[in-house]
Amino acid sequence: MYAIPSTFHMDNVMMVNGDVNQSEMSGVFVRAKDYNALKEKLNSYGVFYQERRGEEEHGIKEFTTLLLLYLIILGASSIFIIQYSLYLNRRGEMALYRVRGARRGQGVAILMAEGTTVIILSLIVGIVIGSVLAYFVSVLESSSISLPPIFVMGKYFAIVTALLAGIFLLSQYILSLKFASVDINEVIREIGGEM
Amino acid sequence: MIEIENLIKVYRRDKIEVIALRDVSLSIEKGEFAMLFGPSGSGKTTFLHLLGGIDRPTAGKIIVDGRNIAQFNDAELTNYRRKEVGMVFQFFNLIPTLTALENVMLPMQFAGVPGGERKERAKKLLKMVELEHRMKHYPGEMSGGEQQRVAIAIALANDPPLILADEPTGELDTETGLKIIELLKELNDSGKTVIVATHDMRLREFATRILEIRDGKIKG
Repeated sequence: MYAIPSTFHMDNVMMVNGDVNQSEMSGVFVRAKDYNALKEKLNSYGVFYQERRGEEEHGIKEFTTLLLLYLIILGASSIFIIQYSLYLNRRGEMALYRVRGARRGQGVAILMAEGTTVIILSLIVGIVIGSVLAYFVSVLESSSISLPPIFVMGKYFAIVTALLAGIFLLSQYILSLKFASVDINEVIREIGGEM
Repeated sequence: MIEIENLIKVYRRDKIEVIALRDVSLSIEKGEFAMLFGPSGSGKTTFLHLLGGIDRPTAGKIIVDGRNIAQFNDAELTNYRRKEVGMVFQFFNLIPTLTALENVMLPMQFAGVPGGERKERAKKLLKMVELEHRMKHYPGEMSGGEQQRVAIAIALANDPPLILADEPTGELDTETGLKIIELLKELNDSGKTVIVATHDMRLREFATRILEIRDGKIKG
């Protein structure tokens, strides 16, 4: 009903010209970069409009949530399995620490110190690489190229990373407790010795 | 002084019971160099593990300087392993990712010895076992004899009065093995009680006390 002529000079609020669907004569869909600016503009021209904010975003969010959930489950289980098998190979080492007078807590502390170092170093590397990539994404965003919405979800991936780091440390702690309680006698016999 | 009374150790594997030590009673005086001879599977390792606080007996008493370590709780046993006993194994058992110096420093770190002091003492111990030129080497870069000498330095880290060695020459050639036994003998001369489990009868001459173990029974 209300066509928006190009003379409205709305280049600054619309993402691309294609956003205005002129074939649907009962109205048009307008997608805005700056929602408030668009609203202001429409009000100033006295255009009747209905808000359909976030419908598209909702679908993307659902998809992203699923993807992130999948990442968390996959990440957490692989972290646990990898750490478990790594520690299995280090039972002898833990038994030797204990033979040489390490308390259980000191055994846990050794493994936790290692794990925390790994996490901190990976986060530093991740943040550096991530910042570089984020810079390019933001350059692309501010240009006229429209980006797939997934890029906008970057912050959720940051949350997942933090979550996975937490899961890593937690599983490390649980496994350290388990492996620090190693049966010293049994393992020392396994790694060399007899009855 | 170590007094062992009616020591029994039974292992249960699945539903099979293996009697590793059968009613062993003996005493070892301070400053003795005891050698425990016996074939494979006779219970030598079990005996040393019980004495070293690595394992607990099924029954009986192990009285070390008046305290029955068989009744020690976990924390007390850790403390005992840390300060009162040094273990040497057949397969050296060094931590492969640490240098010789770091390996020797480790038990002192667990005991809370300050950094500078433990480095000094570790250097001194490695010098004593004639490995001052190998301090920064990893176990994989050293020969068997060298690794075993590092292991002896580790056992001495917290200056324990008792040294237990389980087949310390088992993986070494005759000449290197003799050097290791001579080193243990020197420690014994300096006042440490040393107990060595072996089946190498040529080492008899070094012992001040011979113990023979067979089927879980110890004579001597």
